[in-house]
Amino acid sequence: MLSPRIQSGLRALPEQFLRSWKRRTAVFAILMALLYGHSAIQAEITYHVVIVTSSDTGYQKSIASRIHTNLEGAGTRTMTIAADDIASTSRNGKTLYVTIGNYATQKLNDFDRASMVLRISDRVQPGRTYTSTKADLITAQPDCRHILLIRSLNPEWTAVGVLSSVGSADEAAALTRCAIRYNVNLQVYAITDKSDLLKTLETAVRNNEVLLAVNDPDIFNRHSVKNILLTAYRHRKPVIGYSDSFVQAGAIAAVYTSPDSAGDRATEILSEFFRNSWQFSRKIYRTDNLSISVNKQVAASLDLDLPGVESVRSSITRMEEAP
Amino acid sequence: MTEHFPRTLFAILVLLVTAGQACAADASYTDMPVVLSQDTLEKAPSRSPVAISSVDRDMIEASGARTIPEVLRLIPGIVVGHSVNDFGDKPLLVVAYHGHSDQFSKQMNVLIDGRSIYEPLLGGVNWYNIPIAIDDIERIEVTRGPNAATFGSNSFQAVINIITRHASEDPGHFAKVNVGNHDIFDATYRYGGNSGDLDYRVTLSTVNDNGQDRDEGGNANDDVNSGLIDYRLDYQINPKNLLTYQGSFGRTRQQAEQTLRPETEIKKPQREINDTNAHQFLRLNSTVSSEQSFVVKYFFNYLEEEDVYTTLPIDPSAVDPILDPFVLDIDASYTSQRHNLEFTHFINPDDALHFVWGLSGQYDKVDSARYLYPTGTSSRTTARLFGNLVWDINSHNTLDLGVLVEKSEGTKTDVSPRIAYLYHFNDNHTVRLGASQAVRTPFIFEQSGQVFDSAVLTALDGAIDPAATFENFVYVPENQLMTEKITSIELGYYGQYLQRKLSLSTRIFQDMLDELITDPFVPTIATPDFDGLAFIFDNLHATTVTGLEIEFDYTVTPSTRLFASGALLDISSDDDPYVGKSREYEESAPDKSFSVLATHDFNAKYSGSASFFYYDDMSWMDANPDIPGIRNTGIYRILNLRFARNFKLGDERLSAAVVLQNLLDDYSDYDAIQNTPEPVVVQNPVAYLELKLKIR
Repeated sequence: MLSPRIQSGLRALPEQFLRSWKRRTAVFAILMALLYGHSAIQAEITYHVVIVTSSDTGYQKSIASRIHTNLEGAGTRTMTIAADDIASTSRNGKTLYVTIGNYATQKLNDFDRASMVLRISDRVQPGRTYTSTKADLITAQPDCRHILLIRSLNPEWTAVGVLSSVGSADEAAALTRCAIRYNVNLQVYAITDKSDLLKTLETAVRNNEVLLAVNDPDIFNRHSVKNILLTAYRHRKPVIGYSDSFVQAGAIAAVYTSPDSAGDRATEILSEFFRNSWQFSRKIYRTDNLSISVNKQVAASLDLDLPGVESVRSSITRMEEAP
Repeated sequence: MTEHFPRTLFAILVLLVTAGQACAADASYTDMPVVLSQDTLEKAPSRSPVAISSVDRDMIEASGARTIPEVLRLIPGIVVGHSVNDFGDKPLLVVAYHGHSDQFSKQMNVLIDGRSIYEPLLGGVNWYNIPIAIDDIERIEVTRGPNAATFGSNSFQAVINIITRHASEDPGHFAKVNVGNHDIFDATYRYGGNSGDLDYRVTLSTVNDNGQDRDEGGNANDDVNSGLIDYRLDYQINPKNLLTYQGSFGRTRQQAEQTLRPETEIKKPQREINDTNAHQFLRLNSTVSSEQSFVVKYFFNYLEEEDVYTTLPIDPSAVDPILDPFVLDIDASYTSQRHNLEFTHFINPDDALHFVWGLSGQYDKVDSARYLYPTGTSSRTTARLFGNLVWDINSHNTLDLGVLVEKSEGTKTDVSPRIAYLYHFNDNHTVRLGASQAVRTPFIFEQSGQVFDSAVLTALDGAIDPAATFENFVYVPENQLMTEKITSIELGYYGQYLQRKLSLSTRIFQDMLDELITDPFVPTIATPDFDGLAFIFDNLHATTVTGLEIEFDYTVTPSTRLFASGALLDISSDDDPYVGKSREYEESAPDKSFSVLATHDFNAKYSGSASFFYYDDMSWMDANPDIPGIRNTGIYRILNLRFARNFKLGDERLSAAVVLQNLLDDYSDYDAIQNTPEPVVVQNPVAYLELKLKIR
């Protein structure tokens, strides 16, 4: 609080000053200069962290919002922009980018190949370069967790079908290894030609009890998901998804990294990065937490009585911790 | 500028495609569209408050059926009949459940994707001109028993809900041709595609045959030729909102001939009756969150029947020997329209509670100079409020409550409640105890129909006698007609065995029907030229239907499936103000019936199916021979076979199948010559070749 004397003085000051028109002109000029100067200063502000989103999906917005909130709370200047607006950002000062999704990474690469960046992706992307200022945060869950989810939902499900293209061959191979470990008969159906998708899908759902979706955009995308879910539903076979959005669409369950978990993990990595003299300590980081989503309506329609989410979570954890 | 346009367009397309590919790389970050919304989900039999049977796409294809009623025979308690129409109007393919039905099968609701298609004037559905191609059907759900709380009014004895395939499920070209005896020639062409978030499908189809053969030989005058174009567009506005637009336009030409009632005064000539039907259907599925969603739908049905004819000469000499024979010029054409707007809200406050409520308004309008004499028009507005609450008390106990409150013009407010308690012994075995009530609102013709014939008569010398006019009220309306009522109680069991490869559904039930509407020929107000006798609809009868139904579905191996069903029925009626009517009700369904469908894929190339049906004798309500102890259809059995060969020609898939139907004895499933058990027409062997070509 200012003292009453100073307050009184401050109130009297403008009145005295504005008595002369010259003074009024001077005030106007000073105000204009201040305004211009403020804009100029604003343009020079260097944001320490710029979050770049690939698209306007709920998942990406939630991750961005979480990181933004965490960093601002910790006093780090942060801004969030869409990938297509990246060229409008200032390159003055020391800026760390956080890209969410591959499109944002690609746009940043086009804009400033040398920038420091934490790239958040749903899986490891081939051809990436890693330096002490370029690292990845992978949000995909460990492959075995999908198998454990199936085991936890219904131990009697042993025949699991997986559709896989070249792009998800590694993941399919990893799932196969997990399936052997956990006594699940996993059958991989290779999609070599997109036009064979529906026919192969029919075969997969006909010959298995469950269809496990892998994170492969060539097979599972917002256009193909309709046919996949409808076909599986027609055969009264459940689909296990890999995201909450997939479950809302009609898969019966998924184990995935929630956007809040991904955001918190990214914040941890960034804090470590700042503490470590603006250097990442690893090339690839991963998320630890797991979230489980269940579509009770679809499960009920398929006459499946699924255990509760907490029960599934503890079952997965228990199996993971088992020797 | 113009010359650069193609290159510019190409560049834009490349950019769009490239951008799409780049974005598509983040599969798990994508907002997937809601595909299996609550509105589209099928109720699992173990969680259903009423008995539900489902005929899926595989069964429809394996059966080789050309029409929907053929596959409905697989449902326990359902009977299908081919009426040649003894009133000389168009022949109808009739589907009924638990008897009580004439050719208009009024006690059953039929919906396509939730759009009610029963005809406002006379009730029932003309399955020959139903606005859907059988190849576009995903599945057919049949609710056995009343379920007005879910499906709205007239969901009385049963509900048939036909669900079509999402437009995205049939990409590319599809063509099918059936050619066989009975002049069978059916053709279907469908194209499905997509553009961004829009999926679309257009189907053109025609169904043609020369109907049935007379018992004494020769073809009956009941040829059917129909053509239809129908389309469906599914537009994914965003991941949570789907807009579906469907429409159709079809025309059906049917032969008609009065064959059965030689003693009837008014003889209708052999002629052709033309039907034109069309519909428009808009539906918005919106998912607000995992806890709630809503559906708004509007549809418009239009039907126009063209039937103008001059009767064969009527001889009045029995009344007055000096009068000349005369004819009547009759315009039995009519048009009907239905507008319906409905809002349904699904709420799931937690895993154990599921609540649905909704409102709907319906406007029916019919124009007919003949059936609605003298005004020529009638309309009716109906308002409905419905709700359904499912409470999973725990893993063993479920309570399901539903109610429909309905107010139609001309009837009092009706309330149709339903309650069901389900006990789940475990995941595989459920017992259901249910009770429900429903009403059937009288159709417009029943409520306000009036038919009047008149002619100026001449004497033998050709002179006009002003005193000799022919005036006849065929139908007179009954202003106080009430709704029909049904109260149903049932005990059901649903079980799954052999790792859920075999499901068994059975129920015992008792349906009490009251205020049943019939049209006795009774005295009314006479005039100097009218004898005062006319058909008048009235609520006169009550019946009780008791029975047992059983259905099992066994997937023996992934390539072999066995589906079987059966029904035991007893209909009784002790309320008989008019001689013989109680007996007619009691004889209106077979005491025993069962069906079996077996399908097998021998390998990727060859597949086959066989179906067998057995029905005890019965008499349809408008075809009872009036001979105690005689039911005119007799006992009949049906055996159908289908054998298919698949070919793969690059991306194209071709299949050829031979379908053989009615391989056992000839049978009659509807009419008999008046006052005799002798059939007029028979169902005899049918053979056709089915060719299908699919190009993606």
